[in-house]
Amino acid sequence: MIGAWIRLWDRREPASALALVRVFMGLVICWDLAQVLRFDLVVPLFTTFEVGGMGDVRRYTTKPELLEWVGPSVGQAWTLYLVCMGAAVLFTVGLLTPLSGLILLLAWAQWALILPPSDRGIDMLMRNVVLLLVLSGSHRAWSMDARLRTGSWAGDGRLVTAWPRYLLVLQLVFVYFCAGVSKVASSWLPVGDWSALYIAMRDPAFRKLDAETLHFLYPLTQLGTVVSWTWEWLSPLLLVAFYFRATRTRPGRFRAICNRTSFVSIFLAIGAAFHVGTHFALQLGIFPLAMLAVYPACFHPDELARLRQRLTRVIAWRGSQHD
Amino acid sequence: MTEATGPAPPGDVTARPSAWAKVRALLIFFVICLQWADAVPLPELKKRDLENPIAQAELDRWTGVLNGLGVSIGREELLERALVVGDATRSARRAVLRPWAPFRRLTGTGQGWGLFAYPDPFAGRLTIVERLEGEDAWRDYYLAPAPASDGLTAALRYRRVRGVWDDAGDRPRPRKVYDHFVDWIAHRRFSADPSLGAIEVRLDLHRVLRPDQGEEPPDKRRHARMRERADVMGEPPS
Repeated sequence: MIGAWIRLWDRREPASALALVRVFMGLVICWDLAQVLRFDLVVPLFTTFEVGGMGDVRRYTTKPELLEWVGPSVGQAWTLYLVCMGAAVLFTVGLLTPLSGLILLLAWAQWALILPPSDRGIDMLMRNVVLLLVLSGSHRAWSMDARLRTGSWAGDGRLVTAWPRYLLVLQLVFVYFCAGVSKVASSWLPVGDWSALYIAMRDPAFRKLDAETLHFLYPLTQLGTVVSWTWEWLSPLLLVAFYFRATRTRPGRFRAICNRTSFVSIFLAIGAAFHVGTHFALQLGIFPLAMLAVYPACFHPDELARLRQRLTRVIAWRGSQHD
Repeated sequence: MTEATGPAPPGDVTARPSAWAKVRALLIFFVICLQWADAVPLPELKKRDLENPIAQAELDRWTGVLNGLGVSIGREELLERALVVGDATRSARRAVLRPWAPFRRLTGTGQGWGLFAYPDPFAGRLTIVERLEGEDAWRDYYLAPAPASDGLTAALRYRRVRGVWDDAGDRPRPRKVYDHFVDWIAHRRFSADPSLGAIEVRLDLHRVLRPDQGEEPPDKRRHARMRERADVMGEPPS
């Protein structure tokens, strides 16, 4: 048992899946930071009220280290923003990846301390992901680091440790399962008429569809409530499915069914549909995109390579049809 | 992309784990346990939470559900038990995570996920009204979730700004940050429109009822903060 545990975390694989997560997550972070600039929010969000920001750290027992060192100012706000943005860009393109990721993480954490209400749960999730990527070999593929080191964007195929990818999958399961278990409000249950999604979609802070449309769609929102709640509760089965897949030669009916029905793909497809749906039905900002950015971690690099080959064939075939 | 082919698992494993591999496996075990202790949803009800109308409504409903199931328990008893359990679980979690706290703070990492755990039927609606200099009548500027009409309303819909008013403002007693948020809005509006004399920001109570619960009552005025031009931009030069 202990031996299997050690071997599990010592596995190696190509870096492509981790690289994809890095690129997708980096793009989401860059997009979000670009929004701050677009809406002229650098000073309001990155510093305290004394100098034009919204932060208020007077009652903190421990103030953010950055404010202790340099004090709040417009210059401090812009410097912190530019450090975050610069590090995010470098991290996304994979230049000095571990260092830029670490700088991004530390600067972002300081920002979160300056104005906690503007730092959402998804920000913490993204920082968790960045931390794992910093510790991983994600820069061995699809990065400027790989290009400079090997002459190829794709890198030289050198294997990296797989444990950061496994922990990313575990992180997804943590998010979904804990979110499911913490849904104890009666509106998620029959006693509340499965009205949770309807109520959330009517909340003026998140509403995208008008009240009449939502009234008409009420039965559909009830179905959505049941499906999303059940799906979140079942998320630990994703880990079981991965285990069954890795031990597919062993006997067992449940294992056989799970492998035959491709449980992992079905689970991820429902998750992707759920996130895309909420993206259009609720005002959630980058939440759905950031969650989807972690999904490539659920695929072994070999699967991604096969997918890429298939896509290349399809594109070549379509090209020949046009010719 | 790296061209890796063939079945993955057996070839992926190094022949003989090194000492470092053993240490790493132990560290990962430790980290997973710690993260789970942080993530696991536990009942952590605090007295302060009861100021929220949704907590009161949930308490009533769960008392009814338990009574319906034959469990004889009153509202106050259920509340008392929930508070005792909440205190205990909160203390236990805090004790486990205390050594880890400096790292979590420095990196901004952690667990704790509740995606719409309590959809709020007593929602707050951001309402901004303004008055021209020398006039008495107020006019609407923004009523959430109206689409963006200019740079400021677009910013109000941005998730981080929404977090500020929804998290710091939409609660029984708004936090200080809510006042700074109002100052920021006032400053932007007064800078953009020199004819404005005053602005008021509110988080009106907006009741959300299910379709079978009848007509929703009108919004109730709440958490109003007014700013005059002179307060925000300083006195005009005489």
